[in-house]
Amino acid sequence: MKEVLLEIRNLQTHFKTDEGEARAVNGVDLKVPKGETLGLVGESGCGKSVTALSIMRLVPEPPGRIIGGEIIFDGQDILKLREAEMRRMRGNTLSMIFQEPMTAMNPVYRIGSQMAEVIQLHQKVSKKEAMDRALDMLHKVGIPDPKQRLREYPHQISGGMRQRVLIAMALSSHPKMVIADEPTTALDVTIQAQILDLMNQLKEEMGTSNLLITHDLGVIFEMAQWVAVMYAGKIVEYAAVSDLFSQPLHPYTTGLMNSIPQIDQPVPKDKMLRSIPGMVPSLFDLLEGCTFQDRCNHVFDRCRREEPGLADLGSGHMVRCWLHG
Amino acid sequence: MAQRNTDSLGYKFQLFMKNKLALVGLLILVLISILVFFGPSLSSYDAFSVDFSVKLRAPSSTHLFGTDNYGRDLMSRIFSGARYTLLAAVVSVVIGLTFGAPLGLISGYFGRKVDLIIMRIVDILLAFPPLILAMAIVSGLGPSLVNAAVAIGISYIPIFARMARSRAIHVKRMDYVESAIALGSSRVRIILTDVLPNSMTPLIVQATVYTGYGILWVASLSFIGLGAKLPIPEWGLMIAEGRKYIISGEWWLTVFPGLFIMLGVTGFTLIGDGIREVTNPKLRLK
Repeated sequence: MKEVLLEIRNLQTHFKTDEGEARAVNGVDLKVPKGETLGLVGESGCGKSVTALSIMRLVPEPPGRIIGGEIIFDGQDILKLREAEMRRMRGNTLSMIFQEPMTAMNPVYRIGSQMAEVIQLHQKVSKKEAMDRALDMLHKVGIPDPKQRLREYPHQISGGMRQRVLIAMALSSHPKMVIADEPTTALDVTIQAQILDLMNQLKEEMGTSNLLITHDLGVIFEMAQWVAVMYAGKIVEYAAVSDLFSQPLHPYTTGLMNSIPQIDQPVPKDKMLRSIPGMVPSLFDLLEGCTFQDRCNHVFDRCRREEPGLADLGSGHMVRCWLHG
Repeated sequence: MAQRNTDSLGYKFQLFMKNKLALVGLLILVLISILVFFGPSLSSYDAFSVDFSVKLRAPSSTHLFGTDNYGRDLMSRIFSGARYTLLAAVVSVVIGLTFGAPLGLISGYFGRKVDLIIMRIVDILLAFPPLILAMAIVSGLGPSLVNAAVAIGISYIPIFARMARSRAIHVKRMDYVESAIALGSSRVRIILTDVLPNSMTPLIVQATVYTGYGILWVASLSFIGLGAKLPIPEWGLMIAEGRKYIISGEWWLTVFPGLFIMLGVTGFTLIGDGIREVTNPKLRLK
């Protein structure tokens, strides 16, 4: 494994609600190597986005709170930084791309001035230089007629175009790492492919590391070198992408893979996709033992008594399951 | 047909012009503005020169609005008085906006304790009917037109603060605010570049409408002797002066200033509504 840029150890982010404490992130461990992409997958509500917000220290507080753990980014623990230091880091060395390109830009400013503002936040340049850089970035993300776009307002361009602009903004200060929270979910499939290609290409060009959050395993396969599967606030499996796809170990991972429709294979006899039975456990009172016990086909005594740890099976493949511990 | 840019100012202006009532409001505003800037020179009489030989004359071709008990031409006085009433109304809105809007934005954006403290103070101020509050403040400061404007301005602060707060709460949940924070903006910057500009429209509408009310309130305070002092031809004060003559039949002393107050309030209210309609497409559908 290459040098690690981001390492999260036992991160816990909880939310106080009327029904009690929701443990959205309940002990996440993961690593993002320099210059590579880690895909974080899991179903809705498993804590992917909260993990991302925790890294940016953007968890709405209250009701949220980072209870414990460490987030080591580029050698320092982000959770120990003062807010002002954190602010200098955001958009500068650590940047983020959001899910909804349609609403992620301020509607009252021209694209150029919004981009220039972000650039001037982190770099001591004149307004004119900032504009030149903005133009440069728009060029880089493949926006046609970038000079004209700089003068336009966000509502004048399409969703795919806007996501390109947002990527340009996020990358304008050459961050070491970009967190992309479902960057293509709101876009249609052809545009999705374009945006993903663009992100890959920029990653190669600029040497940034990516943390890509998605619920689409197909996207992970295209984009990532590493993948972490998240379930009920924990990482249940972590592996190189090729290992995970050739040899998924955790029953949840195999369940996820089985539930993907395959275009080149016949539909099962009962004409149903194989979904994972049961529901995500409540985040309020988590069960004793393994969080996946009630939905697992291989469950045995030990799973109900003790919680498995994240066991390293060599070559960086880790799994949280008694079948493999 | 060529595609129209529905967000361009030109298109919005066209929409505004299509709204008949707003157009009427605009006309009234233009008329009043002319009075404010050129009032005294629009009439051949001086607003302050006393001539007892023509006192209490009914409207005629020489004195279109008649004359008052000092023989001053009423039309000249109304024209010259426009600037006092209007400026006082505008000053009060400016005061309300410059103090109320930032308070509301801070309160709404930061929330929690800050919000609690600011809004409880605002609630206390809002508990008084605005005019009563203004009267209390003028009584403290001493009656004068400037103090009346300040007092109305102060009673406007909680109104603008409330409006700004509700906008700030709405805007701070927008994705672009979160995105701006994620790209390193500070909170002050967020308030200035994201929350404020995106809260402007309702504030502008409110400011316009409350300028209209301001005319009414300035006149009211002057009427009860807490505003402009004689011999300033402030409209409310003129009504107060003319009141004594209603029973004896000299109606023009009260009717004409009253008409102009009504005109001013109507004008600003119509324009406010017009702007609201132009900037809110949902209202346009009907």
